Amino acid sequence: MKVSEYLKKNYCVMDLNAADKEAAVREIAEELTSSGKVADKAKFIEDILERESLGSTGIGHKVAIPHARTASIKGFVIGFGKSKEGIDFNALDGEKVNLIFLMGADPRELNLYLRVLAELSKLLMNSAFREALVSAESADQVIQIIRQFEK
Amino acid sequence: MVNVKEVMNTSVIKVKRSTSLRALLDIFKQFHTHPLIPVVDDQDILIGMVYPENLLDILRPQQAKLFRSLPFMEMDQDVFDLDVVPSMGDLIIVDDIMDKHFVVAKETQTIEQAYKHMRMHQKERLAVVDSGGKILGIVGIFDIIWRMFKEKGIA
Repeated sequence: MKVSEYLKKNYCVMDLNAADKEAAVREIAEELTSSGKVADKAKFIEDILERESLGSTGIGHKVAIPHARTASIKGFVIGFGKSKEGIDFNALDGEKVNLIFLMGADPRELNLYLRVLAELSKLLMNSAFREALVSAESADQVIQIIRQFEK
Repeated sequence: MVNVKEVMNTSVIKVKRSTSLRALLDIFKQFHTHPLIPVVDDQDILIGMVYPENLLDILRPQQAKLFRSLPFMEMDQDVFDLDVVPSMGDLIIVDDIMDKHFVVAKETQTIEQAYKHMRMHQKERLAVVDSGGKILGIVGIFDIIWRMFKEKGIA
């Protein structure tokens, strides 16, 4: 199971317009609708933000992994967004976030959901990985970088 | 007829949806004699359950479901080969892993009814709730067995 298997280039926003986390989630969720797996976009966003209110997914190093188990998603989706200015995610280290991986999973896909969270957390611990993503200029590059570091 | 409330344990260790994995592990470690941790909301309404199996789901997400049904296969599971990083301790919260569907004992039930329920669902412990879903305690199979021995003058 690899992150790159699920993240398609049209689920990536290379330059988020959003100035706050809600808008950022909306922007990436919008791209995910093309997956055909978002049964209810409004509910998905609501569930993501609700989960975020329980505990920030801004795990530090300017990354955030907002995620939710929600019936509004069929199966599993993952999207990516990059913000040059940085977005406030109430991160644990107080820093603004530049890299966002948005994930949604049907409650029955718990195993896959946890597996991806674990893989992604591990990748994001690597500063070289984060720096590569920050420098990436296209969605193609983002996928390539993930594939490269996943091995 | 003995009501389940007469034998249940009322000092219940509970967590919230927002409790982090890190904090949850601390609680399990401290209270590992309570291998069932209820998840409640601010009104003490029961909304989920966490079992040690839910923790295994994190370590070996792909195999967890399989292991649950084939416990002897756990011998192959290399718990020392953890594929998780420290940030997971804060990233994962109870809400991400808890069982949202669960079996309970109702406060109106007798210990016979609760016992049957446990056997049917293969659970050794059940949360006892009132008509509003508020948690009142936890009843374990031992509590019921002990009471039966007491009735016969042995305990």
